[in-house]
Amino acid sequence: MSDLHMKGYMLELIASSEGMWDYDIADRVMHEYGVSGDYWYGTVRLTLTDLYSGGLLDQLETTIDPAKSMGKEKLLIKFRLNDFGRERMRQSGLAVRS
Amino acid sequence: MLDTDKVQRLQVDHRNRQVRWGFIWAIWCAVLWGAWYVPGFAIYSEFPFVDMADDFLLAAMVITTLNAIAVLLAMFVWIAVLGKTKDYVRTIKQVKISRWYAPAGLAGMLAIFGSLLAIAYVGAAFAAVAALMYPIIGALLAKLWYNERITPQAALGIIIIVSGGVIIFAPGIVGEFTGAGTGGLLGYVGGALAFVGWGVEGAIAGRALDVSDPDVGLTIRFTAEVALWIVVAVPVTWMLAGGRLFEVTADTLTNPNNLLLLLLLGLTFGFCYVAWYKSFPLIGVGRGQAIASLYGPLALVWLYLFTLEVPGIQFVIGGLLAVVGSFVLFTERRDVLEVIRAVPGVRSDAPSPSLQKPTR
Repeated sequence: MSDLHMKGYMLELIASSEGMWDYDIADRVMHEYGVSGDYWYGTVRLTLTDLYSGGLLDQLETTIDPAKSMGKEKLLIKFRLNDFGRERMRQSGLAVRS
Repeated sequence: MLDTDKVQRLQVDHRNRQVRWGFIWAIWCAVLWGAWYVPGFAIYSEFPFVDMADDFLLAAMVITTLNAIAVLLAMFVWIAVLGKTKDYVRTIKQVKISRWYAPAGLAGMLAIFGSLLAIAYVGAAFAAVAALMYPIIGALLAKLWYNERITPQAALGIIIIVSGGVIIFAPGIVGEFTGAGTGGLLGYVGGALAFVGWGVEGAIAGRALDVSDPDVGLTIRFTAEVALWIVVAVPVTWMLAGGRLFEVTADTLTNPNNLLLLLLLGLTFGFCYVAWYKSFPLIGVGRGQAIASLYGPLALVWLYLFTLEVPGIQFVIGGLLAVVGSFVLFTERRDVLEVIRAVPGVRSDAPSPSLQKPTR
């Protein structure tokens, strides 16, 4: 399990990719912290909304695929870290590629 | 194959749901923040505070300390229910993040202490509307620290808020200096502490909240406040007031009415903060703060309902002006509701965040 808090882990995870779908992020986070279920899936998505509206993430694409969202038709979003997000991570001591 | 229309419909639904919840949270914040002034006012009618008219500084200090502890206990229960207690410990260990909550907690504790002084020396209605000035401080600090430009519309908002502030503060302060007052100068200082403190707190806390969970972050902010009270303020007060500090604290905790009032203080204040920070990602910090400023008029209503005393007309007019000014200041240039923060220069080369092309 990561020593980082959940939001920090999510930032480092997204920072290490060129762009990640929210369901992939949720899977990785839930696996990392050993939690499961709708509640944590929703918590991860809410945190992504938070990071996006805080201006740290950009949205690359959206789609729907019920197979990826527990059978429900939900909007799925692909996120990427932007320059402001990288700057905030560096200021906060989180690992980020330059 | 995906249906483009369906994706667009889901996007609209998604955004509407966000905005609806954002407004619900912000209104809850205003209701609870306004309600906080009722137990904050009522506790001064209880033993031992009712007999402390000559020593309101000590009274306000004891109440603020116990208020912080009550809020922290409420927040501990809250994060335990949410399953975020482990994340609280992990976030504290990220010192480069958690350290920002210490100055935020310091500014916040001065604001609460100031509010309780203002309640004691001038009155709860004054204390409530005086704090409505805090957006001015936030805007000025954003200019000083983050080089954010103050637009003409923001400047107009600030002017309206300041004129509201003059109406709220001036009659009483002029009264104090012309000898017509009631010896409540410390209350006006407290009112100023309230809006300066909350303005500074908001400007600092935002930075740490970017990279930590709001529920956890708020709990750390109140942990810092309680630590500051116990490590710094209690010893200083002990030196100044001697054993009286512990007598008052013991008297407070042995009066069951005080325990009930402290519970109400902790719940209203704790959850007003929770609701406030939950509204930000959904509708934007600006809109969240503008709607939350409705706490001022709501506090006047709450206080009227519980005390049946009509608030001073200057507080009603000044408070409404401050709310109008907050809406003018906060709701500028925010036509894209789901993206709050414009980061000029940093993201200018990035694709527009509002551009969500549905895929096929």
